[in-house]
Amino acid sequence: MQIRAIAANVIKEAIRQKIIYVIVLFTFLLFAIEPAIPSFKVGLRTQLFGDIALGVAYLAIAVIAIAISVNQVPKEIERRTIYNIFSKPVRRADFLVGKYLGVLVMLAICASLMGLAIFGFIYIYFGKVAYGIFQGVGMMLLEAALISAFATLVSTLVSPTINVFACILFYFVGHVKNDALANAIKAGGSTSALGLALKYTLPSLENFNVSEVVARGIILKTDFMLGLLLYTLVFIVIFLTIASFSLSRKEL
Amino acid sequence: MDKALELENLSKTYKIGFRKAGRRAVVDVSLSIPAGKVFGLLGPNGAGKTTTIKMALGFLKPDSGQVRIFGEPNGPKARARIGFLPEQPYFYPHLTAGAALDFYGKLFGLKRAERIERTKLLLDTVGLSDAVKLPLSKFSKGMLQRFGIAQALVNNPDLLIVDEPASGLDPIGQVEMRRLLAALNAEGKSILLSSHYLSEVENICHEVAIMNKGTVIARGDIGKLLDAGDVYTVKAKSLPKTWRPVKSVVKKGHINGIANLIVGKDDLDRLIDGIRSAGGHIEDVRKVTKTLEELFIELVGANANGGSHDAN
Repeated sequence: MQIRAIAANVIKEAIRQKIIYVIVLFTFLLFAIEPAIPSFKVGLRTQLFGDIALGVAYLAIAVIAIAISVNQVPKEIERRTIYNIFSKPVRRADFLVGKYLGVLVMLAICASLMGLAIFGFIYIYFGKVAYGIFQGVGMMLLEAALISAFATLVSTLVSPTINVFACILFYFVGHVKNDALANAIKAGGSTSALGLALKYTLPSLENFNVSEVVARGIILKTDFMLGLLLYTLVFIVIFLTIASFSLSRKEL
Repeated sequence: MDKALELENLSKTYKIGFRKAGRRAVVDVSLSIPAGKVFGLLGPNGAGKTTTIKMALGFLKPDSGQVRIFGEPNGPKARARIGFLPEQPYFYPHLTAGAALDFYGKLFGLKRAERIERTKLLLDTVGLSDAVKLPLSKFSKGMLQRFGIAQALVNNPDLLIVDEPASGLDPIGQVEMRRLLAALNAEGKSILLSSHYLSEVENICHEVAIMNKGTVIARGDIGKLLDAGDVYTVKAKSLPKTWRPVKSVVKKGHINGIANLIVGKDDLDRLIDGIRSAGGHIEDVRKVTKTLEELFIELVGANANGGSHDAN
């Protein structure tokens, strides 16, 4: 009940902060993208539109994930509302999980709304039923969940401003790491060992980038999606465990 | 007697930057709050009161020492029996009073029906029943303080820890708060009260501890601590203008025709006989005690030279 109450409070506050405006802005952006696409044949235009729209949605959801997550714990400490929580029978780990789950539900709502907007737009403007978009939305949500877990961990260690920079770095390194590390691993010697170590300790966010594939109408395999789900869960558990340890040692 | 809260040899040093030596906020503090009593924690700013309370509640980890709440170490089970009102309480501004109490009730695992009942009862108790649907962002400072007490009582706690409960309240609000705390104590709740309002502590506390520079400089039964020795005050009226008291009367004054006389125990009977034989009427005779303010200033001043006091 405690975790649920804390999560519900996060959702209420996020709604009050009008995060939903980002979705409205995103929908307007779709109207701007459509005329900018060159006049290929209809199938190709649909693919290109789906790819670009999903790409924008990936970026938007990552921004929302960072914006909501970086402040959850520091704001409670700064406002001193945390005293009214931890003086009650609430474990610090439960507080953290409640906060994280609240953010996750909010991200799921945002991702679903963006997915519906893209799906509806393709149906109305191109006359196509693009179910694959929702697979893209699922992958987008997994990536956002991972970014949010990382932001939650860092929020127990540093200020929100530094956390934002750390998250941006995490996002970019996560997307370019596979290519960058491939060269390092090939180099041999200690560089290769370091490359391998980074490959397996840092999550690769590029794994979630399926916008081009689903825009082409290719349906993702269940094995692939389950594998990515497991991959995400492992990193989330690691990040939240470290975050919980860090918060338990924090003096309030 | 059972102990509601036991603090044993608590010490805390705040680290400053990367320096090894920090600021010693609390040094070897031991306090024991008996169950069913109101215990006052006093001290000037920076005395270590809030740090002590934070360690008691687990917000800060002591460098050394132990905390026991009803005989158990601080954990979720022990905290389920505590209510806490922080100094300058802050709440989620977007929640209404009713929603916020419901939220805090959930943190204690209260069932829905119980939460509804407690919310109504507590908002009535603190005089906020009309504000149940008002967002906390619209509350005045006094209303927030009263709401703070309501949230601290949501679990019907056995031990209430209140840090400056009268802060932000007008004089009537302060009296009401004092009455509320006394009523809660009459129900059997133990209370740890940290306050700058000495009259508040003097009126409702059974025991006090005075802290200064991180240490306890006096503790014990408030009556014993305030005992000024064998000195009495006598109030008398209808005294003739020519009447003169016994020589040992150290202080006299007149307010609305009533003479206020202070005398030592040895001359008390002689003074009373003298008043009566002069045709005066005795209005009141009582033993003089120090005010808590006097004691506080005396001890905190003496502590600068390394003194301490124990009334037990």
